Amino acid sequence: MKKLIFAFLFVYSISHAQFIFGGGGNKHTSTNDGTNYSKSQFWLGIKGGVNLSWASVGDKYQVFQPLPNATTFSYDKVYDGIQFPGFQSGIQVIYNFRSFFSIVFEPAYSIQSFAYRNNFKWSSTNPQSGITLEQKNTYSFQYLDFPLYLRIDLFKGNIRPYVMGGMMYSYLTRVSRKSEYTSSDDITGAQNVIENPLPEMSVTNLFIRSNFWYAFGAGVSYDMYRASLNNITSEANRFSNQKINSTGDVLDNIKLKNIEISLYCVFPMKFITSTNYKRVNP
Amino acid sequence: MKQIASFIYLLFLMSACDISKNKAMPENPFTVIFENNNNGNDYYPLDIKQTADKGFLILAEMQNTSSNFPLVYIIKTDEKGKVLWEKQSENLVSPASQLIENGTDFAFICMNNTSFTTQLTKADENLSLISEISGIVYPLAAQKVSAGIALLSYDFADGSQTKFTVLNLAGNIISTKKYDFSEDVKERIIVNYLQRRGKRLPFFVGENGSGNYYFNGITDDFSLSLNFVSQTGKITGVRYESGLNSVLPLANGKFAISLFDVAGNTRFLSQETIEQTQVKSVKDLTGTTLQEIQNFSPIIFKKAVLNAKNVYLIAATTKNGQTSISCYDENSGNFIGSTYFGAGTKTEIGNLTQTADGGLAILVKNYVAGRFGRIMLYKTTKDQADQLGGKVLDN
Repeated sequence: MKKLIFAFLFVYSISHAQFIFGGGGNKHTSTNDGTNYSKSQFWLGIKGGVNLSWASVGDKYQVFQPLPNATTFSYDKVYDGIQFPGFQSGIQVIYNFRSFFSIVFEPAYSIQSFAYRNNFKWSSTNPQSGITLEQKNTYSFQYLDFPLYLRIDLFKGNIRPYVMGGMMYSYLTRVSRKSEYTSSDDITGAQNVIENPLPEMSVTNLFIRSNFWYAFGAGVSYDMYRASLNNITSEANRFSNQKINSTGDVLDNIKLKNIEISLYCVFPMKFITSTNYKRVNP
Repeated sequence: MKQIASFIYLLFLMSACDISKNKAMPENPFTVIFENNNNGNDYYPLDIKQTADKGFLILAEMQNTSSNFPLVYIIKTDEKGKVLWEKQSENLVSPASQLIENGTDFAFICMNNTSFTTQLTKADENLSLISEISGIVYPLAAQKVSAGIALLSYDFADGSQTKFTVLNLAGNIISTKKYDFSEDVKERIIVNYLQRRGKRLPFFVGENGSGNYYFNGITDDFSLSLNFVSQTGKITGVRYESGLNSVLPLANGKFAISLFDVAGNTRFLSQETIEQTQVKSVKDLTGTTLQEIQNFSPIIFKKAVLNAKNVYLIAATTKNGQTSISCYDENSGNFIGSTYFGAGTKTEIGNLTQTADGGLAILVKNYVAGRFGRIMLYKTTKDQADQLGGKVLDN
């Protein structure tokens, strides 16, 4: 059913884009022809850029249950800050009206990531036999983004600073997980990679498909800040991957946060044909 | 604008689907590993039972340098696997039975560390003594039966004997049958088994219909053999190199049987009639070789109702360190499905039980960090268990 809705939405998006693009063929010869033609403008273009993302943590979960006689030790994950830049690319459709206002729709494909570390420690009465293990787990998300923003130009001119904000729906297509293990064995004093490191694997079913964001930003070629409104970790599947759980790792409740920096190249779709195809400038 | 508004509406509709359903529900599956940060302790889980409060009681044994025998270890959890209490014994060792249900309480058979006598002990926070079984030492295997508890033990001080005893749930002896033999090597085999050293011979007891007891033990034929207590029939092993691993009584005198051959391979017969008045050799049982099962892996048989069908499950450790659970139709003996747990680190099967909500609680030994033996509990949902029973879930 969800796939059906998604397919419908995708077709809808395409047809919607075609509708907007169709505006380009609706040429007029004058700005004063008695219609609303010159009071708005459509822009169509492409975008691409990088993003920096990190996790906002909700309820925490753990596989390890400390036994009552265990030595005091925290099993809390330590989340890394901003990860290696992801990227996004897509198209942008702008409906500009009443001179300063625009509605911006920019479907895109994006890659975002976050990482955390599990630190485990085992000791014994023999001080020479302590072992520590650090597990760094990096999750990389591939989303289809469908943002819709309201943009307000601050003043009119060739360079238009603006502020914008709105909502975004993202559909998750794939999540991969990479684990890196580093251990320290006091018996030998050596730093070595412990056995059983996990290869990169697809863990898409550990997350729900939908992610709903709020977003706001500003700029000329603008910076856009986005934050999830919902937990993206699947409650039902949290403990479904035994490859991960048996290593002592499990996902917390996560909301993604993200800063996007993109460059755009957009083209006007409405022209006045009588003056050398001058674009409409509402 | 109208189209844009409807587009926004569609977005809301779509996002509402899986986001609104994404809630923490009590029936969701969970995994826990019981950890105490001490790298000198090694735990091996033996049995799990769901208690009246929907939590779990886990019987295990723990090995460290303080004892030559594995110490009795018990954990009580709530329904999500959170530890409510644990108890490690200092003098009770080598648990011989699974958890024996008696009303709302549970008990188990184990051995005293110094006297080697057999004790029926309550699985509570104090490990309360129910009864010390008079004249019974070196308990090897025990199980709840219709009359109480069937117990297999060995007594080298009493002329080298295997004893089969039936107790009531208070620990009083109802009957005992002795099997004499005189092979010195067996004492070492028995002690190795109790200390969990080397290859662990699969001693077990059971009941096929009221009062028709059987046991897998050493009798007078210099081998590990399946004996029927009130019958003359048996299935003899090949010395201690090949024999039965476990059996599960089915309807009409049939059994599901697993055996190990001299190479350590596990073989399986899903429905086999055993003539209880005939003497046969394990070599007469062919069966299917389960190539993925680790050599000499314990084989756990468990009856369950999955996907509204009476089935039995076979749980074992695979050669690549996973726990495999296969499902067979109890009536026809036909294979239904299988599933696997573990793979991030090596696991070994402990036991499993069907929970009140229709799911499965699976207990394994997990080598965390590839080294330390820890108890791991995985609780499935009813849907996951029914899938194993052949249910096809709607997408």
